Amino acid sequence: MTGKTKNAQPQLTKEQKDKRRKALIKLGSITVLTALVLLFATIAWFTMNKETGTSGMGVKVKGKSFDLITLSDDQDNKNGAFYSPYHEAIQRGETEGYGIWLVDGSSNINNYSSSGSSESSLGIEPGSSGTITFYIKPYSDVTIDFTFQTIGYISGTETVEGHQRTTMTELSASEGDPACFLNGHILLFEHHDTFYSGLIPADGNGRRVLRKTFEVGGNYDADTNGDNRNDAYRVDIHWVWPETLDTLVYNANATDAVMICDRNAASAQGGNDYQQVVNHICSYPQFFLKGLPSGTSYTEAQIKGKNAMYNDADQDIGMNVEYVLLRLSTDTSSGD
Amino acid sequence: MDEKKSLMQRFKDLSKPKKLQLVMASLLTLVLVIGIPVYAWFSYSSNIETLAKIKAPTTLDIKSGHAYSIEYLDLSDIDASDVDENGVGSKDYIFAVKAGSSISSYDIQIAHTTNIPFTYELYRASELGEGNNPPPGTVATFVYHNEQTEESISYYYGYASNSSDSEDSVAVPGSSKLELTDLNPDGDTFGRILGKKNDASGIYSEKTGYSGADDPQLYAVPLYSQHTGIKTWNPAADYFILRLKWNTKNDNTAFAKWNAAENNKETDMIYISAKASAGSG
Repeated sequence: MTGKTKNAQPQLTKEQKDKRRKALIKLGSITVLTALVLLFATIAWFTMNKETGTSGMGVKVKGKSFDLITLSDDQDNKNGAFYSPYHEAIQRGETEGYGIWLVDGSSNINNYSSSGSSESSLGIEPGSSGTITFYIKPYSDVTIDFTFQTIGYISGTETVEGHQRTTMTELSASEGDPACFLNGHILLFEHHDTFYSGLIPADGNGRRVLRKTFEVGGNYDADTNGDNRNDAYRVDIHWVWPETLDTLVYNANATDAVMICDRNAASAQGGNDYQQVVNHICSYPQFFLKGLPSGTSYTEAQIKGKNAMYNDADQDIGMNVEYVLLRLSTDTSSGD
Repeated sequence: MDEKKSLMQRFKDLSKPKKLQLVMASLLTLVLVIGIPVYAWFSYSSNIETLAKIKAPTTLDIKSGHAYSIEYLDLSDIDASDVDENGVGSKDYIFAVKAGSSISSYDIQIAHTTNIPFTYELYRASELGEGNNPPPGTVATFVYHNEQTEESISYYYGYASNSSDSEDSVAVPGSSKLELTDLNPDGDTFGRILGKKNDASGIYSEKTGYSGADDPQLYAVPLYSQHTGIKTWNPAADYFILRLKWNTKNDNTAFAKWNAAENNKETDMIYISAKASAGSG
């Protein structure tokens, strides 16, 4: 301690005052500088994460039990990957960070545009279908729960400091809401040959969980062209927006050829996929048919031919939902 | 004395290690505040998402005059006794089709019950701007009055041929009447010979009361007719005049069940529907 007392402060000379001011300025500058350095460090994190790698984005969780690899923005050649500019408006509003799942010509949900082609031709509608792909590179034998969600958005604008910018608002997906029908009208399957098989059904909360086990040293099917997809498993998700209910639930008006799932045979993966889809609709009619509430389990005969209800739901989606976000969250199953 | 001064003084009074501790504590707090979002970013980044657009369905709206809401389309106020010397009367109504920019052509279908022996005609019309004169070739003008807004808007028709792509591009006077193609089964195109044919007699039910879903009262079965391939002139609103015609003289021997129009007749239902023409989406 110094010998100065608090109560009996001597009259400060001009020199002392200046000295004190200088000390204060020094302290202030150092604090600001420190904060700035920290801020830059933080920004650098973000920037680094955005630009990791040139051909793939690897993300490790739980002590490197697996990498989830998707396309990332190729700094030299941006033609290979694409994402909607509206996605930025969603990312801006999100508190949790979700990586952008970039798409290319063979892996997309009709949201890929090669450079030069117009974006207005993009979009999905009843009858659309396609495949979207990611890779899993296991570091130990691991069972992963992939949870898919389809979330509806509408765009708008807001004015921030005199500048207009796009906003994206998440739509409510309560029963009866247009966005609720996305859970049923956009179906996800594990396999697609002539018919679709391996439905990934939505639960009551619209979560579609696919559990898969990956072994280290297994029969990898990813390209081994020197990028970080070496020793990785390719996972294809086949999405389809059936045009009519008759293509899901067989009606006398339909033919076997238009059906989404094979009605007459078990799939190569085993199990009757047609029946699985029908049972799913019977259990969750609120995802498929407008005006058929949940709470009752219906039979195939009761939902058969309810095309008008299915079409009404399609109309609701088309009129009220502008964008659909396909979100994939991963979690290692308990026990790993 | 001044609170700030004493705070500074207190900081100065602290010993060096304590000063260091204080500075470290402040910095760590700052790091935590900034650091937490960074960690959140890491722990959630095994989640990815991609955004796709949903195409809006092509829609056609039917509206009333001046593209007002359909609720202002009022088909009332018909006086069947208001006829010319031949006993023929008519009344015009205006409606609009809002096709939007994505539909290049559409079909209009008209269905109506036949309680009253009206015949129906459809004309393309154009809105006449205020103070403008109808162009040469105009067959008639028509004033639409909106009860709600107290507006009166003039329309003219008979100017351009329907085959033209826009209302301005062709200045050749021509009929803007849209011929309605009959869609009824068995060629029962006129008058009131309608309903489900009785299998035994081969004629329609003439029961006056309702006797079951498969045996409707004959005047309650609608007649259908349509005009296809109507080109979109203005995506905001294309105008049409629906003309109801009637004859008070029961002199048309061509129709066995034809009756003359009278004012004490009951209600008819008229359905107007529009749909994008095949392949014009």
